[in-house]
Amino acid sequence: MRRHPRAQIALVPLLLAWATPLAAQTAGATAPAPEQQQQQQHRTVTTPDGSRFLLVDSGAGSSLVHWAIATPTGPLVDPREWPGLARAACRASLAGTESVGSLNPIDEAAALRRVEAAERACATARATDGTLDAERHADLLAEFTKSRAELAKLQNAAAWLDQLRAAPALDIDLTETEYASVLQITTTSAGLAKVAYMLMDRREHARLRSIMTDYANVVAEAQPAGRIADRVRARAEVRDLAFAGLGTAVGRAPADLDRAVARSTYRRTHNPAAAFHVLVGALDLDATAELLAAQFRSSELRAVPVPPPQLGLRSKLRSSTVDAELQSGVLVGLEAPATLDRQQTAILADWLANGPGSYVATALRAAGLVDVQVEVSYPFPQSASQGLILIEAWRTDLGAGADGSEALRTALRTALDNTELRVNWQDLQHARNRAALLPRVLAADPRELALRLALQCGTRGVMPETLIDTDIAAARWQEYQTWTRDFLANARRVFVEVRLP
Amino acid sequence: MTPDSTLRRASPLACTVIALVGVFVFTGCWYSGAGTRRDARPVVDDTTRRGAAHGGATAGDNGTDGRGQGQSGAAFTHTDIPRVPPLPDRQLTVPNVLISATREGLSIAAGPAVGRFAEDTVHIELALPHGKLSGADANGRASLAAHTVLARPRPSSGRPGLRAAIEDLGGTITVDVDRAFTRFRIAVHQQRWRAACTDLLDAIHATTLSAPDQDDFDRAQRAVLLAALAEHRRDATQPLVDWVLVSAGLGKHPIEGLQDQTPETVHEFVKMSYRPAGACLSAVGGIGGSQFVSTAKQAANEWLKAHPPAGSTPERSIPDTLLPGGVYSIVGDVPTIAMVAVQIPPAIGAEAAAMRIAAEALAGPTGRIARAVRGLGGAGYASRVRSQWRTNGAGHILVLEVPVPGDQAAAFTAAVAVAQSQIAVLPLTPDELATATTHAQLRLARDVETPSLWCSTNVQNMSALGTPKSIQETAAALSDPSALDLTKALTALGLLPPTIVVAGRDLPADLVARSIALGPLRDPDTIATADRDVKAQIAAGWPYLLKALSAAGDADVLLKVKGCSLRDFVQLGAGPSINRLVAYDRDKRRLYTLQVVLGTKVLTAVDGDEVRTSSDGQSLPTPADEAQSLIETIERHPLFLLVAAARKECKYRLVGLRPVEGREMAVLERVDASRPRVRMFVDTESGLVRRVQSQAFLSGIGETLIEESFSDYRTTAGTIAVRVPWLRTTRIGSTDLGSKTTTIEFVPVPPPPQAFEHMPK
Repeated sequence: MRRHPRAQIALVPLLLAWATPLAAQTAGATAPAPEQQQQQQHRTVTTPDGSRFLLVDSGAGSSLVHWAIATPTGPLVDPREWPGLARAACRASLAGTESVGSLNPIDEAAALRRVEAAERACATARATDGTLDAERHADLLAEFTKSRAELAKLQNAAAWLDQLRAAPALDIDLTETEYASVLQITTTSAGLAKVAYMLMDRREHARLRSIMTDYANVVAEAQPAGRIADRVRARAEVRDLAFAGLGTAVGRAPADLDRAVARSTYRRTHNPAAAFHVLVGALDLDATAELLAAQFRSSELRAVPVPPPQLGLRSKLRSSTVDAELQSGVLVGLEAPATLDRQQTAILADWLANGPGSYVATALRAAGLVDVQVEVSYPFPQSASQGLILIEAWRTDLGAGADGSEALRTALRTALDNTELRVNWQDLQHARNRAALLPRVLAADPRELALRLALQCGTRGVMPETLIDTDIAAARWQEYQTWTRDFLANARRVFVEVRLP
Repeated sequence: MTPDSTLRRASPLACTVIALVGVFVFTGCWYSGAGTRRDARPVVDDTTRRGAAHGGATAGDNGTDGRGQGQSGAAFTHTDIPRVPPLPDRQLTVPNVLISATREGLSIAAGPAVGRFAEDTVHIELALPHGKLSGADANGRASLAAHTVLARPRPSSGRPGLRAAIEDLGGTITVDVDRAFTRFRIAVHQQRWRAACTDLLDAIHATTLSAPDQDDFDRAQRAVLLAALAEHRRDATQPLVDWVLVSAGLGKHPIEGLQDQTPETVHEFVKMSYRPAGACLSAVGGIGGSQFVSTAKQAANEWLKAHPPAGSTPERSIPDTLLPGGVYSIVGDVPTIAMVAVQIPPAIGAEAAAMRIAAEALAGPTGRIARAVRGLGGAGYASRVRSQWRTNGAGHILVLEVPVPGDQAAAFTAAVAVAQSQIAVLPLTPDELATATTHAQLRLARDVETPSLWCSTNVQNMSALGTPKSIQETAAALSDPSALDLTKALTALGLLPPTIVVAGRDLPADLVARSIALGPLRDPDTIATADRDVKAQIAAGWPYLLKALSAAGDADVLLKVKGCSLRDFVQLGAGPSINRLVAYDRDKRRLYTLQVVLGTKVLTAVDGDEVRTSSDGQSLPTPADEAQSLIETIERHPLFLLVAAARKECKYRLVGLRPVEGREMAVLERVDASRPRVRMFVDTESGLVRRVQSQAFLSGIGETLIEESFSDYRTTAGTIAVRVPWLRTTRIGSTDLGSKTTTIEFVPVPPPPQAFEHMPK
C-alpha cells in the first residue's frame, strides 16, 4: 500500500472533529428527529442482515460516492496450513460470481468438479511420492491441464468487474494491510443501488475463480527479496514478540490449496458481521440508509464478528535478533502505559521518531551514527486494537558490517532509557500540531477518508461512537515533560536487532 | 394429414418457434437454465443451492449480450438478492476559480474546493517549468534542486528548511519532478495556509540567491536517495515504471545522476528554472480567492522583484512532454507486471472532452487495450486490470496496469500494439462510446471533487492553456458526447506510439532482447550498486573491462589502433541496398564516408570540427553539429570504445549484471558527464562486447536511445590482429522503425593521409 509516510501516524485519534453528534446516535435503522437530521453529516446503520455501515455526507456540490469495504485478512483468520488465504480469497472474489462471469454455470460447475478432482489426484500423488514427476505422472498432469483449460473456456473473470464499472464505478481497487483488505469503489448516487447489488452478489455468491493464481501470487509476495525482505522479516519478528505467534506466517511454505477451504475462509471473512462498509460523498443519509436496509436484507452466511488482534506484551522487555541480507538495523516496539491516552501516545510517537529532527534521530546523530534512517509507525500493526509505537532505525551505509546494528542498538537503548530527559516544549508542540492537524488534512480527500474510516472502524474494532474529537489542546511544558518521562519509564518494549552476517 | 404435409403447411414463423423451443429444451437454456432446470442443476455448494432454490430468475440490467465482452449470463440471477430502485443522481458542480497574473509572468489561481471536509484544509501547488531549460530530469538535477529547497534552512528569515516548516505547521509537502515541471504540493490546515504560502515562496526565492553550502547539498542528496529507496521499498516495481512514464526514461535515474552534480550546477539550474515567468501557483480549499491572490503576491514580492517583467502576456514555456514510445523491460525479482501509458495531449474545452473519451475508449479499464489483453489469458489476471490518470508535463497520461504471466508478456505487447493501431480505424460502438463517456465523466468529477487533484488540475490548465476555466466547458461538453468530434481525438491517440513497460522475474529472454532494457535499478541489489560511489563502481567494473580488452586483442594491441577502414553493407528488405565506405583517422579526427544508394553517391568528410557533404558534385547543406555526431557514431564501435578505455581516455563503471539472450552480461557505463551516455554489454564468459546502448540526437526523432547488437566476431588479418564483429543489428529505441542488420568489413588501420585529400568542396 502506498501511503504518505506520515499517514501511518495518528490513525487512532481519527479526524472526526465533525463526529461530535455521532456519539448521540445509535446503531441500527432508528430514525433521528427531523431537526437532528438536518444537522447530520454521518450515520451508522446496521442493516437487517447484520452488515455495518458508516454513512458520511460530504455536503453540497459533491456528485460522487466513495465506498470502502474492510474485511479481515491475515494470520488471525487464515487457516493454519494456508497463510495468506484470506487475502487471496478477497482478491479472487473480484473474478465473478455464480451468476456473473460464467458462460454456462452448469457446465462450469461440472468442469470445476473435474479440476478439483484432478487437483486432489495431483496432491495425493505429490504426498505419496514426494514430488510430481513429469514422466511418472504424465496422465495426471495431462488430465489436470486439460480440465483446467476446459474450465477457463467457460469463464470470463472480468465480467463481474465490467458490470460493476457499468454501474457506473471507477477506481475499483483493493488496498491491503497486514490484517485487512479494503475494497474501494467510486460511484455516483444513482449508481449506488447497482453497486450495492453487485456487492451483495459478490458476498453471497463469489465463485473465487482465480483463487489458485491469486493464492500463488500472495505466497510469492510474502517472500520478497533483498532489502524488502529484511524489513518484512523484522516487522514480522516484532509482531511475533508482541502478539504471540502472529508474525510467523511469513515465508512458510503452504500446502496444496483446497478450494473448499478457500470458499470456507471467504465466507468466514466476508460474513455481514466481519465486514465494515464506509460510504463517503454525495449521500442523502435517509434515502441511502433505506436503500441499504432494503438491499442488505438477509444473508446465507452466518454473521460472526472477527475480533482485532490483542496486544500481548507481558514482560517489560523482549528482544531477539534476525539475520539480514542487505541492511542492518534495529526495530523497537513500544507499548504506551495505560496512563497515556491515544492522542498523547500519537504525539509522543511523532516526537520520538518522525523525521531527522526527532528525538531518536537527534540522539543517534549525537552518538556518531549519521547514516541512519529513522521512521515511526503508530499504531503498529494498523489493525491492532491497541497498537505499538514502532520505531525503525536502518543503517543506510551499506558497508556497515555485523557491528553496525550493535552500535545502533546501544545508542537506541541509551536514548530510550533516558528518564531524566528535559524536553523542548516547541518540539512537542510541533508534534502535537502534526498529530492533531495532519489527519484532518489527509481527510480532505473523500476517497482517502473512506479508506481510513474503514480501516479504523472495520478492522480495529473501533466503532465510530467511541471515537473522540481529535482537536488536541496544546499542553504546557510540565505536562509534556510528565508524559514523556512517564512513557520512557514505563513503556513495555520489544527490541529486534537486524544483523548482517 | 401426414406429418409431412403439416410441416409443409406450417408457416416459417411457427417452424422457428418450434426450433427455438427444441433448442432451449435440449440445451438446458444456456443463459437461463439455472432458473428453469433447477432440479437438474448440479450443486456447487450450499449457497448456490439455496440461492437457486428461491426460484424465478430476474433479468439482469447490464445490457450485455451474455457472450463476448461483458458476458455474464445476465438472465441467470439470484433472487435471494433483492434489487432496489436507484437514488436520484447529483450533478457535478465545478467551483469558480479566481485567476490572476503578475507582470513577471506568475499565474495565480484560487478558489473553493468541493465537499465539507475539503473546507478544513488548503491545498497549494506551485509548478515551475524547467523542461526547455534543461531537458527532462535526466541527470537528477531537478530532483536535487527541489530537495535542496526542502532541506535548506533560511538564516536570512530565521526559518528552517521548507519541509520542516510545513510539517511543524501540521501539514504535508511533497515534490514531484516530471518531464517538464517541478511541482511543490502543500496541504495544510485551513488556519495555517498563510504561513505555508509565505514559507513556500520565501524558500524558492532564498534558493535562487546563492548556491547551497556543502552540508545543505549533502542533505538534499541524501533526501533524494532516501526518497527513492523508500519508494522502492514500498513497491519494487512502481518507482521504475514511474521513472519511465513520468520522468526521463532514457536518461539517468536521479539516483545515478546524483554523483555528477555539485552545489554550483544545482544553483545554476535553480537560477534558470525557478523564475516567475511561466510558473503557476494554485490554491483550493477553505480560502477566499482574492484573499489568497493578495497574500501570495505579497509573499512572492521579493522573488518577483528579482526577475524582470515578462511583458504584457505571461511567458509560456511548454516543453515537449511526449513520452518516448516503445517497449521497456525491467528484469527484477517481482511478479511480472505490464503497464501501458497513452499520452493525452493538452487540450481545452470540448476538445479536452473528446480527448478524455477517446483515451478511455483506448486505455480505460474497459477500453480496447484492456479487452485485447483479457483475450490472452485466464482468470488469474484479467480481473486485476487497473487504470490511473496521471499528469505529465502539461498533459496527461492514462496508465493501464496489468499483472501478466511472464510467458504472455510478449503476446501482451503485441496485443497492445494492435489495439492501439486500430483505435482510429475501427469506429467506436455505441456501447463503447457510452462506457467511455461515463468513465470520462466520473474521472473528471473525481478530479474536481478531490482537493489535491483539483489544485493540480487548475495548475495544469494554466500551464498548458493559460486558464483553468476550461474545466467547466469540458464538463459541459462531456454531458453531450454526440456533439463532439471524436475522430480527431482518436486519430491523435492512434498516431502516438504507446509506452509499454514490462517488469518482472520471468520475462522471456527474446522480449528482453527486443525491448529497451532498463538495468540500473532492476532490483534492490542493483540499487545497492547504484548507491555506491563512482570509484567503487569503476573498481567493480575493472575485471569485466579487462576481460573485454583481452578478448578484443589485449590492451597493447589496442593501443596501436589509430583508426580504421571499413566497408559496410545493409539490405533493407526487398528495397535498395546501401553500401558505405568509411576511412577514419582517430588521432587526427578525420573521417571520410562514401555512401551509395540507388547509384547516388554521397560523400561526407569531417576534418576536425569542419564537415562537408556533397552528392554527385553538388554541395549539400550540413548541420553544424554533424561532425561531432558522425564521430560519435563511429566511436560507438566496440573496438573504439575499448581503444578509448585502453588509452585511459575514459573510465567505465559497473551498473549491473543482466541476463541477455541467455548470456550474463556486465553492463559497463562510460563515466563522462560531458559526452552522451554509452553502455557496453560485456559477455561475462567470453568478454566480447555484445551490445552497445547509447543516446543520440537523430533529426526528425530527437533524443533517443540507440541499441546496437554485435555478433559474428572474427580476428582481423594483418599486423594488428583484433577481434571485431562483422554483423551489427541496430534498433532505434523510441520509434517503430524496426531493426536493421549491417555487415561490416573492418580493417583496424587508418588509410594513408592521401585518402583524405579529396574532400568535397
